[in-house]
Amino acid sequence: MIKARNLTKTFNDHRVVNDISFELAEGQTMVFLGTSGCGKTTTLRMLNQLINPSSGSVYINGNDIREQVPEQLRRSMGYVLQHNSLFPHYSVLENIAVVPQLLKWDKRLIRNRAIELMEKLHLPEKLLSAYPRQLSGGEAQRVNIARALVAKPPILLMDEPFSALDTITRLAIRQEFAALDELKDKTIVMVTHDVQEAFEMANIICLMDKGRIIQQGKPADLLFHPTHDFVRDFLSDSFLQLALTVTHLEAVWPYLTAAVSTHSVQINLSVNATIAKAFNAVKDKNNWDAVIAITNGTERKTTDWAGLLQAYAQYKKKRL
Amino acid sequence: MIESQSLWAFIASLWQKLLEQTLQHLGLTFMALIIAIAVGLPLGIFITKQKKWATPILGIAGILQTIPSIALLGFLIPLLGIGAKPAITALFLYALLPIIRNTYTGITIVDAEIKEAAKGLGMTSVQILTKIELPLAVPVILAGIRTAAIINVGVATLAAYIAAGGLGEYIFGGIALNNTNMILAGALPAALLALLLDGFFYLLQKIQITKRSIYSIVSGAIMVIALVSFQNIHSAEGLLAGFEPEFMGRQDGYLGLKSVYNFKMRTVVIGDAVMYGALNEHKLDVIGGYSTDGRLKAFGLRTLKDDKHIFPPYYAAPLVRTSKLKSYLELNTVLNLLAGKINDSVMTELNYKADFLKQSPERVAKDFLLQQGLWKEPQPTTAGSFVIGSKIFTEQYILAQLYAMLVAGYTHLKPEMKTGLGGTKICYDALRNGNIDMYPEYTGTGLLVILNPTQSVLNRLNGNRDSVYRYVEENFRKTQQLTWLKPIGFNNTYALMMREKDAARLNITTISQLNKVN
Ligand SMILES: Nc1ncnc2c1ncn2[C@@H]1O[C@H](COP(=O)(O)OP(=O)(O)OP(=O)(O)O)[C@@H](O)[C@H]1O
Ligand SMILES: [Mg+2]
Repeated sequence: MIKARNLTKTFNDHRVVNDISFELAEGQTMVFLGTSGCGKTTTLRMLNQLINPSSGSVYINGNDIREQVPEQLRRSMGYVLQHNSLFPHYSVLENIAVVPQLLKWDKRLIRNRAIELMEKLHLPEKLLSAYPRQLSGGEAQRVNIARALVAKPPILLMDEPFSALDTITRLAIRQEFAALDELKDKTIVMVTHDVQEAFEMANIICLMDKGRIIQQGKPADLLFHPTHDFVRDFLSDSFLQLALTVTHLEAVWPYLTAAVSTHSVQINLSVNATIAKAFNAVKDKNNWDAVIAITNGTERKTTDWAGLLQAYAQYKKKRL
Repeated sequence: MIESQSLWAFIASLWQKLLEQTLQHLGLTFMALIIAIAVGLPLGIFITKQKKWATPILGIAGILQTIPSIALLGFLIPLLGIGAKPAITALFLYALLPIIRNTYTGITIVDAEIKEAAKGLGMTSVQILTKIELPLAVPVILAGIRTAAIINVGVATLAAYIAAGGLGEYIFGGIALNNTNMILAGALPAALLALLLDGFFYLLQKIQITKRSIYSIVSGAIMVIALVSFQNIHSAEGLLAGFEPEFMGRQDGYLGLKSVYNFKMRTVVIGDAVMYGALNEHKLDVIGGYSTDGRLKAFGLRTLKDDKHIFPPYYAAPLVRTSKLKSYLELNTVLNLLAGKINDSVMTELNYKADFLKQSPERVAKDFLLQQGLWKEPQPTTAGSFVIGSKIFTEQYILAQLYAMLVAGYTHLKPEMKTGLGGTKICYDALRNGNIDMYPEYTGTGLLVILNPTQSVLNRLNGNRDSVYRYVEENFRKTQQLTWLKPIGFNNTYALMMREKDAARLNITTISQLNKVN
């Protein structure tokens, strides 16, 4: 779907992006991760021609993007920045309507689509006539996402979309976002410097440093098979949390012991969920005795958080 | 209290004329504003896109702003003549800087993230400009237009100097005539206009900018401006007279022309400095000027005979603080050295040398003294200073120089010059307050502008040279502690003037004949 070949960008003799290549299949999410100033934003902006590479090329569905009219290219890609990028003199509806209007959609269609998105993003419909200054940070960012999604672009580009929010709002929006059905088939490129965020959302992570991609691959690969010390160091701070984030219940399934006694609070999950997700669910219930029920096809096992941790420990032992 | 009552009475008696001038004033201001917006806005936008032009363009607009308004008008008259055209051009040039600068700033300070988002969503650069940058810059641009409007209301008073009308006519007339009510009749509406405009734009700026409000604000503002601008563009046929502000308010001027001659000619107000040039260039047909002016000779002008005697004699003489004469007894003799030495044609000749041959007043003065055998090298100064004032025209500069040279040569006083005082009132007040010790004044002016006697007194004096001098001398000595020394000799009377050719063609020699022709 998206293919970048030997992208390089030089600002005043300084190689901000240095010969990077990557490829992303349809429906996948790629996250660029790295410290401030390593060239993430620059890389992202080369994908929709906001910046022209000094050398190298970008192909979308096999076509070189330089052969496209930049404005048309951009209208076919959703673009999300931090929440203060809403147009302050436009109402929420007018903000969401920007791209459809550029594409000359019918007025009623735009409105219906906006209402649909407001509902999906848990925004009250009456906010359609509000102005950005009247919104909370979380609401503004939901509108921002709606604005990017409204014209159903196959590709979504996001530059630190959640970084300006407080921790609690950020988690909430991120989870909401991950659950959006609108995103099912979207190809997403996202920039962040939040490691946890990257691991939760990415199919592929590109870890960057000083303009280069140090390692790209599945989150678990980066965590368990780092190719450079830089990668190991970068991830070491939150290793356990990340490990639980990349380990699915499926992996620990064989090590789950017999059922625990039933309890009034029960959490139902499938084996596709991650251990981190199971823990989060327990935390959300605010009840450490909660029972976790896991279904694997027709089979079903119950456990609790301590049982999960034991199973994980055994799984790790076997793998080493 | 009495003062304020008479002010309102004065304004009430003039309200129609004042309304007309206020509209003229607004018309000039807004016309210039529209053109400045039409030019400044695109220029401001241009320099946000071509940053390397920003410094030179803002620089030039800034320099224009620093040219003194009178000087700017002076530069424009040879190019554009007199009237509304040069006035609007000058106002336009002053309004440019705030509009260009604020457009530039307003667009530049739009949040980069927002521009980035607009671009990222697929807006073209024109769409970004018209949908995002300009609307968000509107409050700042309006602030620029507001500044420009206030500047223009102020500067537009000077339009009165070049026959473009406006509230300056009363202001400058009042200043020259020592008439506070007249000054206020022009200044109060001007101040009021400035405040109203300020408030109007303030309110506009306060309106929250939304996609919808933006169009109503902009189109509303343009409508109002356009409405006022175009409503007093009119022209008329026939001969055109131009009189300076002081002339307009004097009994021995326009008021007398109207009451005694029933003068009906179309009239504009114009500054003394540009009046002769305008006549010479056929922009005006009749002016009220001074009979000894050097340009009379240079431009081939004919003075019309005052057959109904509205202009009293204006014999020039030094007007001196009596106290100064008493402390320095020799001054009396020295300042009277010129008495009777300069007749009408000699004065005209001296003025001609300065005005037309462009000799400096010093040189003209020194040459004259040398030729008369009155020149002496300056003596060492041991006795303090003697301040000589003058009004703001050539003849007065020359006379002031003559007296300065005499004082330096014949006394131990140190002559100091305070020349170019803008009118009778200013000179007279300066003299009374001791800011100056003497200036050359004219008997008729002293009589009508300062003493302002009753009609019966005027009838008794009957325009007689000696009786006017005696009346003025006696009254100033008794009531003002000021002394009129002996007349210098020439009579610089006010006179109506025409181009010699026209006067000959139309066969006009008197004011009455002129009035009939029109
Ligand atoms: N237009 C530009 N001109 C010159 N230098 C630039 C420009 N844009 C970016 N840079 C430089 O390029 C480097 C990489 O910038 P970039 O914005 O891609 O970093 P980033 O990884 O997104 O950082 P952050 O996490 O802080 O957003 C920085 O050192 C920045 O100063
Ligand atoms: Mg960045």
